[in-house]
Amino acid sequence: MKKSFDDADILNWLDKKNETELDELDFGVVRMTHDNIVVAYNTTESKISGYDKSNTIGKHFFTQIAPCTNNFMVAEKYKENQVDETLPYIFTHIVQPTKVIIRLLKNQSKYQYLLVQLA
Amino acid sequence: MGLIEADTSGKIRQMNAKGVQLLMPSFLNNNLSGENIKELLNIEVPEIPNLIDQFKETSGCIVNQISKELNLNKNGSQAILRQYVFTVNKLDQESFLYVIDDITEFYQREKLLNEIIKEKAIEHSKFEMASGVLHDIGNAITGFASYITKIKQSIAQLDVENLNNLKSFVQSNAGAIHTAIGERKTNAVIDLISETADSFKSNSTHMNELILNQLNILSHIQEILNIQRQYVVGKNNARELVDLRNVVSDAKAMIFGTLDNSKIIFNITAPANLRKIKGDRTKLIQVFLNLFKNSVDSIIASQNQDKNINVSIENNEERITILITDNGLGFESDIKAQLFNRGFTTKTSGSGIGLANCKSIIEGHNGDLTLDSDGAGKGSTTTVYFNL
Repeated sequence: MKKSFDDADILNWLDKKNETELDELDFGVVRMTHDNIVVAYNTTESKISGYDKSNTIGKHFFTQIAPCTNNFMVAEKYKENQVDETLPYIFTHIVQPTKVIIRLLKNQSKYQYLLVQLA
Repeated sequence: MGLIEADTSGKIRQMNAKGVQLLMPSFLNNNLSGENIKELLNIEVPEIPNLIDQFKETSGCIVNQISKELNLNKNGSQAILRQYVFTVNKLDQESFLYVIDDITEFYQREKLLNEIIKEKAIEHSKFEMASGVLHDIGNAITGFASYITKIKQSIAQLDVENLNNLKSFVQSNAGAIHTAIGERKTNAVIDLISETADSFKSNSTHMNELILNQLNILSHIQEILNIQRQYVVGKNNARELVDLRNVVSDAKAMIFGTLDNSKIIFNITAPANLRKIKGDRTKLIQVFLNLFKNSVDSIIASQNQDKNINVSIENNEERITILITDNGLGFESDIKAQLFNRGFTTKTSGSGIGLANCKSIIEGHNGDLTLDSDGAGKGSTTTVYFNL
């Protein structure tokens, strides 16, 4: 049973998915450690951002992949212990400015997530 | 820095990541989609769209670094204030380049720097004020001291002798006065005059003592003021090249009257090639004046027939040494250690601040001051040197 972008308990569900399963999702998923290091970057996210997946693993998401999110609206939010927030945003770096909806997710789980959907 | 290329209406064609990072919070704050830069500027920095609309040239710089503080968290309880700077260039009829940067850190650093500069200015004016106050108090004290000296002089003129003369006049004419007013009354008059003269004399001695005390207190205050003045930074404290021979001669000239009255022979020897030192001429004159006065006092107190002060200035590669020798009272070696203590004095009317003060001035000129004597009655030698 696939979950959608705005499902309430999606974080714990994502935690159980392997990379192949993440790639099948129709929204972008960035899985990071609590230090903001990218652990998994799914295919949909790759299409939206223009970033090749292989270039993202092990990098610091907010400074090396998506500097456009390195502000208090996005990056700073992950300093809290728990986050679940959805907001409209614009992605740009490799791509033209692209309107997206992003969802910031973090709880006690080992990983935190940034979900992306085209607006 | 954030770079945005937009059309005349403000619609964003291209925007770099830094641009998004800087402006996205503001777009969201104002419930804007983030597609049109003018929409945002109309709310946050309305003067910029106005300038753009007024700009009629085909290309050029429209806005050059307009700085504005934005609250990035309008909807939140706590404001997040950032100082942004905007530049707008018209590239061609249809394209505009917006350059945005966050200069909050620079801005705050500059603010801090300005505050520091202001504080320094305040500090400086405090010094100036202190200097002025010290100067005024000094002047008032000098006036006060001269009035007290006048009172002292006029007391000395109140002649007890006149009363004594009157007494001897009455005594020598006692016979004649007897017949006029009777013996008992004549004796009473003589007793009265004599008692009045005695009490007058003791009063005037007492007053003299009191006035002397006052003068001592005043000179003590003056010395303290002089010390305080040294620590006040003023424009007069500038260090210049000083010829020590002139300093010594000037100090000598200031006590010329005393030297002449007391018949003290004062010699200065100095080499022709004497090097100049960097220093505060006024303070150095004060020091030598003070040292010469000490020698003069000591010579007068010794009551020697021969009265000599010799100053010799010597010069080598490393230092200039000035030796002041006098044949005055000198001192025992056990006193030597205390000579430079503030408050120590062997004089009957001194505050004991002079030498300590002199030493600190010389030390401030990269030198030192020492005093030596072979013992009581054997004169003393003061050595002042300046390292070159």
